[in-house]
Amino acid sequence: MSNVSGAASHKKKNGMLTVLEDQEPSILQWSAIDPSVAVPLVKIRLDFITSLRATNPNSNQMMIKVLYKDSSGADEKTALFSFTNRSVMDNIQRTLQQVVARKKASSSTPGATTTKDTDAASSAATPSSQVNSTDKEDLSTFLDSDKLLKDHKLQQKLLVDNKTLMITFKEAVMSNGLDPEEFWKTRLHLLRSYAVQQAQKRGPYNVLSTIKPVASSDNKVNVTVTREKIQSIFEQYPIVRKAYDENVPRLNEGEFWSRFFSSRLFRQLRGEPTSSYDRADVVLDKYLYMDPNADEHTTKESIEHINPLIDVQSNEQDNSVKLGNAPDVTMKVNNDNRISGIMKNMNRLSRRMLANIKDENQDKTPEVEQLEEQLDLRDLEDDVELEYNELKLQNSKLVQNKANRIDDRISGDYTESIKTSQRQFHEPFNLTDIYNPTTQRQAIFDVAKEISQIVKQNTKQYSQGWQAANLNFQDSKTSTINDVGPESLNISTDELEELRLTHMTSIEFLRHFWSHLGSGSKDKQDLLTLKKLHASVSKCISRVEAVVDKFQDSNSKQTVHAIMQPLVISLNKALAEYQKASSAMLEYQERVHKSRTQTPV
Amino acid sequence: MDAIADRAFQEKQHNVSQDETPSLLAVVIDTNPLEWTKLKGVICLKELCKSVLVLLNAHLSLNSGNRVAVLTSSSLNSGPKFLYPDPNDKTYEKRESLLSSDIHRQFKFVDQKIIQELQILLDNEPLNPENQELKGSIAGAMSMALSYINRLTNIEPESTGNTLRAKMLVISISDDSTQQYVPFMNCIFSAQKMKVSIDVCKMGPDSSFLQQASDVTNGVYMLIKNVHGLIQYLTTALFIDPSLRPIMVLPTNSDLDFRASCFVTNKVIDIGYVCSVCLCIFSIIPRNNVCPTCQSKFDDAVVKKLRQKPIVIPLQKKKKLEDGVQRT
Repeated sequence: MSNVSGAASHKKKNGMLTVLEDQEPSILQWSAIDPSVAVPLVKIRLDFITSLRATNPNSNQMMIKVLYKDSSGADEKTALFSFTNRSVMDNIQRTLQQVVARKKASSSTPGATTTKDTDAASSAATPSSQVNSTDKEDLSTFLDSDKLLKDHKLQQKLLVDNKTLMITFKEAVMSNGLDPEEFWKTRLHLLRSYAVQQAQKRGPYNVLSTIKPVASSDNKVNVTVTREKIQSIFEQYPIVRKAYDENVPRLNEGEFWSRFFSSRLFRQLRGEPTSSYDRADVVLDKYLYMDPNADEHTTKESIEHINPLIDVQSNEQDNSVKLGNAPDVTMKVNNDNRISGIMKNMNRLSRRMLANIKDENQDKTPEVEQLEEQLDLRDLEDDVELEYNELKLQNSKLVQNKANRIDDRISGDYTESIKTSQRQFHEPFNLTDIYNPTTQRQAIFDVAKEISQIVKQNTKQYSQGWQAANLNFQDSKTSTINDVGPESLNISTDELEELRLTHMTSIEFLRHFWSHLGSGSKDKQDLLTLKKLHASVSKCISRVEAVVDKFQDSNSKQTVHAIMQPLVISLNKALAEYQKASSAMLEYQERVHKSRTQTPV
Repeated sequence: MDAIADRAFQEKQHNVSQDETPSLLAVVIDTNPLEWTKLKGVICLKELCKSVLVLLNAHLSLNSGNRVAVLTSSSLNSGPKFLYPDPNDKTYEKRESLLSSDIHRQFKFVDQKIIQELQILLDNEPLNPENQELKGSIAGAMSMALSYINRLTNIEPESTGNTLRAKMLVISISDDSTQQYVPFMNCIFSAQKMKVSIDVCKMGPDSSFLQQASDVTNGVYMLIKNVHGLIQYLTTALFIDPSLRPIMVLPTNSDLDFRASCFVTNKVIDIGYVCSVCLCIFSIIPRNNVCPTCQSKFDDAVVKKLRQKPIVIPLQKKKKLEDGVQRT
């Protein structure tokens, strides 16, 4: 694409006015046509132009006045060019207007835009490494338990999201003074999975299509782009990166982007039809004609290693007989070149986006996997041998022998009993004995009663089970909370809820208690926490008692007592264990104390 | 018209055939002579045997296709053994029949064989138990029964086309401590997989293993309280045909105890240690920090932590007391 130029006279001398945008720095240059005339070249750096003034389009005079600052930057100077041709003048005027508008835009908000863009530039310069490093950073936060414990924001978010956890948290931490860090320590897995969940990002999408340039009244094009967007533009359109790399030190950061978004390259990449009427852009238009696939081969090769022998897809596409004389997607001889270009573009973009997805396997649909499996030439593969870990039950024989060794105590009885049995088995078998009316009859009646009693009891249990199951079914939407219907227990829903809360809180404390007791930590702080937990556990017992005492009706009280009994047992077990450890410690201390007092003597 | 008539006929036929599916009853009798010695005065093997014979006869009389199998678990002389049917089909010298002569021939054939085999088993038992070891276990007999069931229900129908349902009845008098946990559990799970119910007739001490066996396989667990009414238990509660099981409330009376037993000491335990490799359970930390089953080496640091006694700040009351001691 050539530079914009046109005939114009300066100081009443004929010459050519050219906008040299592909130079560094880009300039507006006027040179006389007649080389013999001793008029110096007029060179104005484009970035020094402050404003333009042009004659009214309707007037006969056709002149442009360029106001600019010299390199010294002190005074404003003017240069006047007059034209003989209206279209030539318009062309040059438009180009210059653009330059001035761009300059104004970048200078009006210099702080904000430039810093943003430099950010983008720095991250864009090494996009791949950048991505990896952020990933690593995230991973380390997920794995580092301390960081998770300190991440209060994450914890708050999780609590808001998880209502049951919120209830437990409220009850244990807020009402009963459990250390929040304790609370989270046993729930690191929840935090971690939540953190991972939060860190999930959206997959790639066609960035350019989301960018909508808005033209403002004063010949400016306003585009809002975030840093992330720029980064993904680079990822999806290597050609833009190439243009950026080659031009940006020379061009201003902001200028590059404003140029880009109004360029034909942008329109083409977006998949819009471009026309020759679109404004040309000296710097960027040359990228229009570059081979967009130039870099693709390398990436493609590194991604796919399909043996060409079995690569059905590429074989099909490379079949020259099939394609005929129209090797493009439309498969038509007389097609509009531009449309096929767009289609190619879209295809390329989709390919690139797919390639950029990191974990390919996750997005494979079952059908694709199945197809891939079919492609495998399995008979050529080696058989995979299943490997089992052989378990040797060595000591079991020893145990059995020990258990079955004949006890001296019964050996005498044994001889007698075996003799009796032997004798009995040589005497006649009268099978009618087993229903002997005198000896057996009563026993048989008793047994029949016993069995029908058991059946009755089991029937009751089954029907209750059914009721519970039905209730469960109805409540399946609100699941977890209502596992057992309160009706079957003769307890109101609220009461049941209270029991659950008490239970949940107690379990929470128990969990922390045991994890601390088993930790074997000698740290003073830990020991104090453990002691506090011990106090909390004993408080739990009184809380359970209080809840049970609320029930007045002796029948329901009994039920509630039965429900809470296992909890009370486990709470008491915890207390007993602490008591045991405590007395052991005391004994030890006493012994140490004694030995100390004895040694001086 | 034809179609309707056809269907009605088929439906009726279908119901009938469902009822008529014959079943196999495999009975495992615990013949551990040492355990029987303990039951002296409660019930003797002969009494049990009589009741079982009646049960078998009842089962055989329900359907001409019904079959039975009887196994013994253990003795000092030999391990698990089939009493009926005889796998080797040995012929013995004709023995005097101990059964009444007017018994149904089909029953007599089975009963006679079982009595005879038990007779031989008992006759071969040594009178002096010293330096003798018990051979076989309930689990062993159960796995033999299961393989027999498998043959009759899965393999033979392929050629003969006769379908057969099966259930197992375990008559146990022994304590859990004489059982091996792993083989037992293996039996239970294979029975579950084969959809074979295990009914348990338990005399003597309660057994948590057998409770689990019946619970997992939808069987009936019966702790016999009244031995004189044994026949009533056997022919009602423990007599439910496999086809009726899904629709019946089972008269099982077990308070289920899911506790496992320690692999080293064979004790039933509440809380224990589990090998992270082979999942076997211990009540104590095994010697040398090596899993006795799979030989995996445990992490020394972890074991050390497990062995460590908990360190606590002594409770307030005693601390004051101790403070007093220190002051004086």
